[in-house]
Amino acid sequence: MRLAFISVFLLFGLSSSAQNLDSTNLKWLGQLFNYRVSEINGLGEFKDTVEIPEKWKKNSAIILLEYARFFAEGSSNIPRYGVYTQTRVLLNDQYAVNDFSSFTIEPDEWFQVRVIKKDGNVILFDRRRAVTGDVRIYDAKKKIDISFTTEIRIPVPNLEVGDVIEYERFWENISDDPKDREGRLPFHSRYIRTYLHETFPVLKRVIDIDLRSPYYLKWQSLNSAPALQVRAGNPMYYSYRFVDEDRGNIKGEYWSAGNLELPQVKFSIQKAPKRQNARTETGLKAYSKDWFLAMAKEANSDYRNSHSGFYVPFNKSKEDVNFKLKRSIADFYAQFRRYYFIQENSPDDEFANYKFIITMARLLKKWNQDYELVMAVPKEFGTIDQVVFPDEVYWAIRLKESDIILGQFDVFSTINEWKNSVHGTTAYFVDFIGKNKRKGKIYSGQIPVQKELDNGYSYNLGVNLAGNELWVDRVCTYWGLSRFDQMGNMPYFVFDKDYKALYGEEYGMGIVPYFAFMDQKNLQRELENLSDRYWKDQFHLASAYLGMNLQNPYYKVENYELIEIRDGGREPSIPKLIYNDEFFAKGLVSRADSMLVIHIGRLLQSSNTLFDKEDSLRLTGIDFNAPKTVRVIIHFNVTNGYTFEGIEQFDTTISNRTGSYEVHAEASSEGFTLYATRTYSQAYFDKSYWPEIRELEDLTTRINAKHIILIPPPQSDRSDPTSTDK
Amino acid sequence: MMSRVSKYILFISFCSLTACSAPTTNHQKYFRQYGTKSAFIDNRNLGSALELRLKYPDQDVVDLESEILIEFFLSNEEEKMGLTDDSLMSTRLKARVTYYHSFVALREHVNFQYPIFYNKQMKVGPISLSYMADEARQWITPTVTDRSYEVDGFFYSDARLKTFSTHFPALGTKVIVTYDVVYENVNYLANLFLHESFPIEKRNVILRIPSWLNMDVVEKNFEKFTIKKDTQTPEFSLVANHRRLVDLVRKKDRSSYDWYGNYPKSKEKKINPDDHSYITYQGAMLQGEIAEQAASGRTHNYPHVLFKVNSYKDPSGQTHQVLGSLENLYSWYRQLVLRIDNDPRVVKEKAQSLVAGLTEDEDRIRAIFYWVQDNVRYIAFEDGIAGFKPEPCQMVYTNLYGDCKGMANLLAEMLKAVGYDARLTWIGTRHIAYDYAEPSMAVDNHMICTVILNGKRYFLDGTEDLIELNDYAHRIQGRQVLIENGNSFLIDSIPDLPASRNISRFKGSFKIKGDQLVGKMEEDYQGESRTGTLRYFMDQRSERKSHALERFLNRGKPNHQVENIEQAPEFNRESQTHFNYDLTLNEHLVFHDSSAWLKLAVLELPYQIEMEPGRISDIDFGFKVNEIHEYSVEVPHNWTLGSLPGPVEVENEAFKLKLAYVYANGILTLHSEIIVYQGGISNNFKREWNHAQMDMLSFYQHYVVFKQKG
Repeated sequence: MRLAFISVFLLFGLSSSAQNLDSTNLKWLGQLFNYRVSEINGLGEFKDTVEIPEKWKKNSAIILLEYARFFAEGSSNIPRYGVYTQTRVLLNDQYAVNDFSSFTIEPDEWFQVRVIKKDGNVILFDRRRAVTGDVRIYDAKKKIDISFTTEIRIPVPNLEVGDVIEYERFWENISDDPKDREGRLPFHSRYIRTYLHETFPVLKRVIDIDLRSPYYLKWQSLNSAPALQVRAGNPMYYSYRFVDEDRGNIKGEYWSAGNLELPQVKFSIQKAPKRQNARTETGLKAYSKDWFLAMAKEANSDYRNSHSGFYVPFNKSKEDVNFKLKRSIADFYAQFRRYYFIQENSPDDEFANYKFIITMARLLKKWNQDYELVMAVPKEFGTIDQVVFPDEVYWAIRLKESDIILGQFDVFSTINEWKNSVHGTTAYFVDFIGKNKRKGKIYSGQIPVQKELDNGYSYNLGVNLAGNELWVDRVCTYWGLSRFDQMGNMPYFVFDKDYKALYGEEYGMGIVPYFAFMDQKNLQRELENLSDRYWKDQFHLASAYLGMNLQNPYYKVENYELIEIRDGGREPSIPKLIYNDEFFAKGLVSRADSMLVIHIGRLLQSSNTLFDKEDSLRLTGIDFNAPKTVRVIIHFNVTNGYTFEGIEQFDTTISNRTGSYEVHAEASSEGFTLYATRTYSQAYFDKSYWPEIRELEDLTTRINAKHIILIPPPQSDRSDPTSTDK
Repeated sequence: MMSRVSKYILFISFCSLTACSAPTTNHQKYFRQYGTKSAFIDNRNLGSALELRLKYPDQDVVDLESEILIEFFLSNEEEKMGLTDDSLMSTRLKARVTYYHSFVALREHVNFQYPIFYNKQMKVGPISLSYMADEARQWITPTVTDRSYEVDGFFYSDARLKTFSTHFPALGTKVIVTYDVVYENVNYLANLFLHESFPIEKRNVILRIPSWLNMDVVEKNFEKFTIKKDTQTPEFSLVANHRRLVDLVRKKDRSSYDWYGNYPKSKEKKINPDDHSYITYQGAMLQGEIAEQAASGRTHNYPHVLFKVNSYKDPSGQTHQVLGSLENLYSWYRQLVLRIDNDPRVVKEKAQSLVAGLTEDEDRIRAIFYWVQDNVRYIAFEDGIAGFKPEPCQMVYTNLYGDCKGMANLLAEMLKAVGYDARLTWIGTRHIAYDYAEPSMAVDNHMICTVILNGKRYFLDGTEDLIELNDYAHRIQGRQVLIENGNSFLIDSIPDLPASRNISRFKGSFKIKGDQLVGKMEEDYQGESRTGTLRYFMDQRSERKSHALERFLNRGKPNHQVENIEQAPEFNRESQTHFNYDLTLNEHLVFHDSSAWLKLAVLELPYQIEMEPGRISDIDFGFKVNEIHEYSVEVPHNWTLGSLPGPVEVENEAFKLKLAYVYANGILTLHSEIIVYQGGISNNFKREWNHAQMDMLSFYQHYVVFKQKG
């Protein structure tokens, strides 16, 4: 099923399936578009039959044309804006036929699909076969709908290999919604970012944009995408055209850096406010330095969006004789994080960072601390000089004359961290100093690049034989950005070391109505019990998640148990996630007569990746997300008189420009220890580095496959080493 | 200093304020409605909740005591026969199923989503929820999400799902939930299961059967569970008690209710309650249904009752037949078929063109069968009666999409157009445990086409891509079919093909080079293993097919290097699917002192599923597994055999498992074979299967040991 459109243009509010579409719902299918179709300019010139280049002829499907026209016009009171798209695709195999077999659209869209047969016959879809799906949330007592969403599904008729499918969608809004007068259009197309490569080759992509005052366009072509052209046409409009041709399809790649490298275009359609101000920039180009300065000043006094209720109690803390800036900021950070993500229960709020920054700035003003507001752009959006929409900006705050940075605010973060995707980028810094902290001064600067030791994880394993299995107990430590990956696998409450103290009480308060009849003494005891049980529950859930995530193709994990979370990794002084766990690893012990082969390399946690022939050719660079270091230490206890052989084959050292891999084995009185370290020196490499990365990955794969041999003592001394209790 | 309690009150006020901006949860709603007087957590529940938590460690809630009450009643509407497709099945006889649950939380802070599945034939009544069931006034109507429900494989279905969230603030919180579902057409109440997705400590299913109703109740899968049956009038009913309490609150005249506590507006009010018979099924400790790996259909495993409603007498004493007999079921199917409104002229030309030049009957049938398979996409609409009535052939032909019924009807009309006796045929796949001895709406879930030619019946399933003529998918093999035959019908069965049809054979010859095994592999697929393989490649994008083939052959293993792949020039549904390729294997050979240890299992036998002790479902592999692996390696002359892992050989009615190494003339051979004769392992063979699995794992764990000379 296709969610048609230019792939990343739109986000549809999807609901599930369906009920029959009655005749009243069919209005959208015909009326709307009839009088608009004449306004779609210029499409005729792309109608011609196109010659398919030989190189694409064996592809599953070829997108012959992907056309989109965005427009915005109308008076300031009743704006009219919309988007029309037409896509034409040649279907070369059954996969493509199935892929384009049906469409899901929104109920207020105009939609048409034509199947053009080889003989030129054109088949239109049967509108009676469209069905709707809906999700309704209702209050049965009040007999009111709280929400009602629908989607429409359309099966495409008479589709065969060799057909060309051509589908059009049109959506417009004529609105007197007050929001439209605020300069931000509440429709899909106000901000578009799309890559030019798709699953299928695209022979031609055309984007037309027609705007009338007061609407204006901000546009950027990134990563060698063609430039936008001004288009001649109706003099009443500002008209533009983007044309791109002959884009190959993309394939999946390990650690693909496609989001950083592939050509993309992005633009926003903005509406100029009636009153001009410092932020009003109607030019086609990206926002200027002055605009950023105006943005920073606006944020610096954006009290409306700051959290006054939370800010007020902290406002007084400077009067405390024991006030220490760093500690106070850390307290504020931890409590605001808890307030925002637990109490307000909004862990996915994309504006959390901004709201935190402006609340923090307000507080710093009260504490009379000089600070800088930092505006950066995540790498995949381009550079700071290529911003076309305010929401692309990522906010941070840096204290003057201090090393404190507040660069990331989410469920798991702490102070003195930058968001991963802005490391190494150029950002604008606007300082607010002096008495009233209002006059900002802007300059550009670099956000530090991370090093391989800044992020990573280490596993310290104790391994014992237990029957035909290995019993493993581990201490796992994650630091820097790497800890976020692992924390995301667990319920986020569980990490807060002081969670029980902070939230346990509130949890009790939250349920106090349930205990209204209890006397004070019993109530207190019961709340403590509840808090304790709740904590254990969360821990149990975390354990289940972690056990599940350990499963892999080489051994089976059984009886997984999370023993203790020593640190949740959210304290500014030690931002490390540390826990210990234990489990059985099944399938790592083989037998050759009385000898045991232990496939211990599989516990070294390095590459399990399978590279095919086509992986030798890279289309994009390599994005490891962050430079990092991975350390694994395995202490293997050998008991019952057994000796071991083969640890020397683990000794290896290799390094190149992309990182290193080093394994060292040591014998000890209890058994042996393997020390393995893999480093990734940078977050990103261009594709010319791929052979060096493969060199390291191939070696880790080979080391993963290595084993040691346990040799029994002479017959008279022998007892089974696998008779351990575990 | 502010006391703790007053802080709490402030916090409560804060909660109430913040709740205004957030969606109201059902417990907040309750709290607002009834204030702080409610003591949601009853310490008496805590002890039992802790015990239950040990019993059901992975569950959030348990239904402590529940009841399903099934009643039948007649609507006032006159029976309308034959006016529309829907009315063909109409009957005044309706059923009301009332559910009553007493949930207890086994964890802290549980948000439990309760699901109610329904469709157009069912009406879900108001849902009531209470934290304090003893106080009949304190019932709330929760906020409900009602959505179209996507049924696997259906483009559109009338299935819907209502859910509501119930909040359990702490371990031991008890919540009562009750609601009823009215089946507008009693025929759609085909069966009722005792299990649900949550564990149930105690459940009564009470059938209240009026004397004017003639019905049979068939018990299914009861033998594996402890379920008591009682035909006495029950002494107590949770539902009845609940209704009585509700009526008391409504200040209705208590005396106007019978034992059962019928609603005052019930049509049954005038009926003497003594004119009912009762069947009560009592289940205890029913664990929550979980998705078990490779599980067979629910009707095969879980205890349930199948309803066969035969007839009823209306108040005037007239008897009305309902869908209790196969004749009646077919009669209904027949009426639907007669209303299809086919226009065979539209498909005739195409059918004729497909068979042009073909002289043999089988070739002609084959040509049409394959054309439908290859050209008609499976897009299914299931909407009330449309779930049973085929679309006209011209619609499916024009759209080139349809569901099983549409494809069967198109096949039948195309074949008829070129002179064959082709008929629509109803069938229940293996997913369903019923046959026509127990006719009901639940017996069939599929339609195919039967061609009768010279006394032979060809069963054609248009939905089975890439299957050859005279071959049948496992899902329909051995299943009874109901073939149209004018006003009567024919019963037959699809041939149950042997497992030998599905052989997939893997053969490899290797030499030892250093610490690698290097050699050639051959893979052959027949029967269902072939169709599965062909479909896998059909689903790949053209430009990715060679990559997909490489991934298919190396099985995603880094230690398998595949090169020089040869395959049949064109995949064909009528011949073996065959691959030849070169394979280099790492990690199969270990040298130690003067010994060489070797594992020759290039591919281990798949289907390694242990049947855990608590498993309820039989294993269903989806087809009759039959794999033969034979790998050999030339052993260097200076190696002598030390030891071989002992062979494994198990054979019984359900499966055969054989693993054995043979060493002779310098060649080490591993022969491994698995046959699952009926495509699955029943729980009756759990012990044998699990033993065999352990033996197999142990076999694969051991190396063959050679000694090297010189």
